[in-house]
Amino acid sequence: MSEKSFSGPLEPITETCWRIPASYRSGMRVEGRIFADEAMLDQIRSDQAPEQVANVATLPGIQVASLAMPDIHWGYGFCIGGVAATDPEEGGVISPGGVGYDINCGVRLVRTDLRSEDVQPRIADLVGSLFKQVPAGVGTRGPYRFDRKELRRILTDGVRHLQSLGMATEGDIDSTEAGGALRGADPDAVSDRAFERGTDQCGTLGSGNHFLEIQVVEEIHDEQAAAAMHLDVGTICVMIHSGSRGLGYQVCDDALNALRKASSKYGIVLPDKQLSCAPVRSPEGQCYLAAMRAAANYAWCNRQLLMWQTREAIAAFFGNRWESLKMNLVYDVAHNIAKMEDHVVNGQVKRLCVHRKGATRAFPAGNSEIPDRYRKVGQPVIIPGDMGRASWVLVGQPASMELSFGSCCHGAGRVMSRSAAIRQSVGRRIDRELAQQGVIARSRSRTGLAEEQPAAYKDVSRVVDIVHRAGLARKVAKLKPLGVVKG
Amino acid sequence: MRGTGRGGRKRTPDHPGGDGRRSGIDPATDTRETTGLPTQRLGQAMYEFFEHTADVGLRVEAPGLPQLFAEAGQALFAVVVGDLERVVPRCERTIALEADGLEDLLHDWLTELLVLLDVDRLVLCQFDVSLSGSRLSAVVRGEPADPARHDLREEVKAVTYHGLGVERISSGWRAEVILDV
Repeated sequence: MSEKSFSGPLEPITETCWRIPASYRSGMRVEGRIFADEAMLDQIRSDQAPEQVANVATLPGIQVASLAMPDIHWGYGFCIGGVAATDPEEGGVISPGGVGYDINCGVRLVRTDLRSEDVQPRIADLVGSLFKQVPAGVGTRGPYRFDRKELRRILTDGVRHLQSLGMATEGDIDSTEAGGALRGADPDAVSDRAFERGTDQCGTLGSGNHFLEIQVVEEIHDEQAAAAMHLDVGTICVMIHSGSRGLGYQVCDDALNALRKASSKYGIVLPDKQLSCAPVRSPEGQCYLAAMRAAANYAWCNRQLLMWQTREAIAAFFGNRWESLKMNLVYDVAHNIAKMEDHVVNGQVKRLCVHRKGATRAFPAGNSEIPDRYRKVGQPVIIPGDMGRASWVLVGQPASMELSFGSCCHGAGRVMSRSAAIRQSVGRRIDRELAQQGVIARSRSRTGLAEEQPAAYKDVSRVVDIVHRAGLARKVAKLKPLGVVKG
Repeated sequence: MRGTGRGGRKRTPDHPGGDGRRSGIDPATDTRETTGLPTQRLGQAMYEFFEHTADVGLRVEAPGLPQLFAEAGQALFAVVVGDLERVVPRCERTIALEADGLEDLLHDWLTELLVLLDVDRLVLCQFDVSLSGSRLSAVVRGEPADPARHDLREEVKAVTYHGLGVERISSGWRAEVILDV
């Protein structure tokens, strides 16, 4: 198998949305819709991602359309950037492939009272300090080791349990999607092997595209929303990207095994084994939901502990307390998850199972899921870009509820395979190139920076521009990376 | 991105996990230099990585199934450790598996190896595999991952089912699998 391009139809619906008609392939129950502009289409056609959008359109109970965000790229099962909502009333299914192995991979943004002039002269030392203190990379253990009883509480109660251990505040919980805990998580649905893999990985970054970045706010596009988040030009922030580590990967793997049998039991024809699924209301579907929620809660605790270590490291570096530096969580969003949410379909409110695989929830102002202080401006949406150019903060817009089940993009989206990125970096020092742009990057892996070099990604600002123009989310602030820690 | 070069039967010149310097090639039977295809490698096994936008595609060929599975294990750990030849086989684990078919067996085998990395922190370099129908038994060897001595590169999150295949070819067997990294 190789990277084949997509030659099927992509018809314009609007200047930011393109259709794969349901007639494209037999078995498609709804059409596919990809949010993109015309200039992006050639790149989108260059791999199998649009075919994956069509595959997802065959899932039983899928509503309205199989969707993809402008950071779409070839994944496994679902494309990365995929959104699909299914209706349990209509036999709608849940698919672990619509969540991914890294359940509740996500990103959080912490703001500080530090200004760029406090940090830039000492950025290399600060990155060095974080590199030492925040566990990252292959085979790295974290400082926290949870026995089975503690892990069960983490899986059930999420960040609330860390609060009882003194490692989370009420403000942290309030600023985390779903309050850092999905209800209905069941540790008994999680295998012994997943527990084993989770024992000492909570509070570790991992490798690949996971990162911790020191960033500075470079542009403000929405004063009111930025003020609600206490962001201003020159504000130093920390962005953390990680997920549910080995525990989540194992939960997904266990579920794929179980649901592959369930798919045939329920007579579901799969275009790709990775799309194995079961009706949401079946025992198999409920079991996966319960385990997936538990893994999601673990992931929120992982990012919370990464933030906790970061707060301690930065406070120590500046000889201050993190509370005094006002290192407060702006928001934490999941971008690999399935959640039961209310959405209007054909004028009727339905409780749907919304899969977001490399897509971020983007609820508009007024939604009851949003913390009070953001209720008037919309849910903060954190969009990491590559480590050379920019990352963005947006807020959800009303059209997201009409067009994308309250979702928008999750990042820049890769355009270059890892091996191609390494080929392109032969004879180059990516760390030095970044340093010339004012970014100090440290990685434990010799190839990590090469694989994650800026050119391997689309320009996140173009991706964000499309969701802004499509009305899914509104630009609030652009952040520039200053320091990067990778596994 | 099939390797076509000199000297390395595990030709992975541009992949995160391999530098193509593994020994064991028999130049007399390696015709890739001229044909670009691994046509005369009876008695040998090889792996290579193919393009995938976000993850790592892995293609393995071998004259027999046990070698195919062993080679897939090598390839998996070549993603994790840049200098696999420096890993010392001083710890041993046994693995016994049964699955519904060869594809599932390959998936389960590689996943089992990932769990040894995650739970026991073992990087593995030797894979003695026996197969009987859809049953696999193996002895694998390696040592605890040590950032001071090993070039630890990439955490493999999982072995996906997307595009997973095991098939007969004229020279033996071929497998393809995509790793989530």
